[in-house]
Amino acid sequence: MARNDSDSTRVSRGASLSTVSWKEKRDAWLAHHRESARDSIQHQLRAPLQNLLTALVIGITLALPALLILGIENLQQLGEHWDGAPRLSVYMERKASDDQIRDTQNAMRQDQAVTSVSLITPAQGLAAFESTAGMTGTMALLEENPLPPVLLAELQHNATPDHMESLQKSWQQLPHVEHVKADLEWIKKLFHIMEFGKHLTIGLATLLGLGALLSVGNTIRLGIENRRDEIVVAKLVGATDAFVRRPFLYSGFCYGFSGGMVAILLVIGGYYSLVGPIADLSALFHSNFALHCIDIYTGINLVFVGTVLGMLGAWLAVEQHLRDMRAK
Amino acid sequence: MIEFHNVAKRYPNGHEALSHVNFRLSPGEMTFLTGHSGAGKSTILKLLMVMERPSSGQIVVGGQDLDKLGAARIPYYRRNIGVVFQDHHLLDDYSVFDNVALPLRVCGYPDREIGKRVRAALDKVGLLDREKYLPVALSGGEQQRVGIARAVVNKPPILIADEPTGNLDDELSAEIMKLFEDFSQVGVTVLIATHDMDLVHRFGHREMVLRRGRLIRGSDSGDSHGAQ
Repeated sequence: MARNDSDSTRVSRGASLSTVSWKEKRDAWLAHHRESARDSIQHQLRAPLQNLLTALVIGITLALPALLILGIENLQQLGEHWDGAPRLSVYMERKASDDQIRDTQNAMRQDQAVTSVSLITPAQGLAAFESTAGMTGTMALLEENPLPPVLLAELQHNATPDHMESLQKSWQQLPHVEHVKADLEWIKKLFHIMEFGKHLTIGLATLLGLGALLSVGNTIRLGIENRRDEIVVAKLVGATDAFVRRPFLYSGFCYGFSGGMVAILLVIGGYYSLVGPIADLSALFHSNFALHCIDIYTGINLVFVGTVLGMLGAWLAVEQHLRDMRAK
Repeated sequence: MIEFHNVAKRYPNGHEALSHVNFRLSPGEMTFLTGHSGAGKSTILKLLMVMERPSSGQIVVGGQDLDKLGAARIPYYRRNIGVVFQDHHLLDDYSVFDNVALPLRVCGYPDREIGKRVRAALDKVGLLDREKYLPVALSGGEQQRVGIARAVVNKPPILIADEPTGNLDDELSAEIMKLFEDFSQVGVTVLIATHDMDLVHRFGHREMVLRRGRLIRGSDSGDSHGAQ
């Protein structure tokens, strides 16, 4: 294509790009990034309501799963501290001797998950029963202590309900053991509610994320419509897809970032509206349970996920538009 | 510079926009492409811009077979072609300067280079004093000249124009044509689609005539130099 340039006019042809150094091209590329970033921020400021709404949609989208996760984490904490570790009570035969009780105790300690095994003698049991149940005196009517010796096993915090159940079955087989009772039911329920909650959160987060993606995509699509002519002309004079995409990616970034910030505010707001009532409730149950707020990492995560969603939504919207423009 | 070999374009609805189109344009040649509306003029220009692909046949531009041009390289290819539109496609919210600068920004030119080249292009079309205006503040002829400045600002070896004088009176049209002639004289290959036969006859360059998607005249350089 190169031919001799004519000095008499300013129009020449040939390798005009070669007169531009690599450094200058990089500077121009950086300049376009700067320009796109500045433009998209200006665009955001020009239509504050529209952009606030988009940021709110993303914020709510992120805040809901974040609150759910926070709730589950707090519930888990509640489960752990309800009455310390999960427990199994082993009721011995009433006529079991001290040696037999000690043998059983040793057998129970064999399991890794067992942290301690303590003995509650019939006398201790009776004393505890009288003091808590308010039946002072009533027990004196009985000729002899009806309570059996009880071995109380404390398990590690992370012991699963399945493991507890297998322990319960194997201890039931030990000699002189009358009955093994586990506080299995509520632990099991809590465990399953927690699992359910986690799945629910993942499902909800996915759906809401999709919603955020669509709403960012839609907002960006409006922006694309407004700049349709510009895109057509830019493409005709040789703009690459990346060049066309760049300002919209910056817009998506702005939406996502501000959405993440909104989400943090919502979560913190939710925390402060709940922390008082929960402290009161917890005091009524003599529990030292306290609501935990999000930490800095969760906050960064929220903003990060929001930003990724914003940019991905923008990318998809622009990609769809560019695909429509491509040569057939 | 531009070669069409047996090019056909059929649209999915069955309409045959072009068939058996053969021609060759040499570097620096100025050519008119005429025919009634719907004869296929715009299709030829769109194929040249790779806005559309031919159904069959081969198009070679500057030694590049367009069929082998991947989607990712189309932008770089287009930087070699300046386009002038009938409705000039200027961006209303950009100043004259920014409109003309767009192709350079797209190519990633540094600012100092952009300023220099935009002013040179505006000077060439006689609008150097209008760089800060918005397009709406200019007359039709001036807008078209801004469009031309934008088309030539990155010094492309090929210039194509789709009805560049469509909305202009005779005097302005002649002015615009004179500009195109200047570019062709310094080696730019110029292809102008028009139905303004007076103008074509007045300037007397090679003329290719399309009728219902076929070239009925001017299909090769040596063939004729239009209808004198």
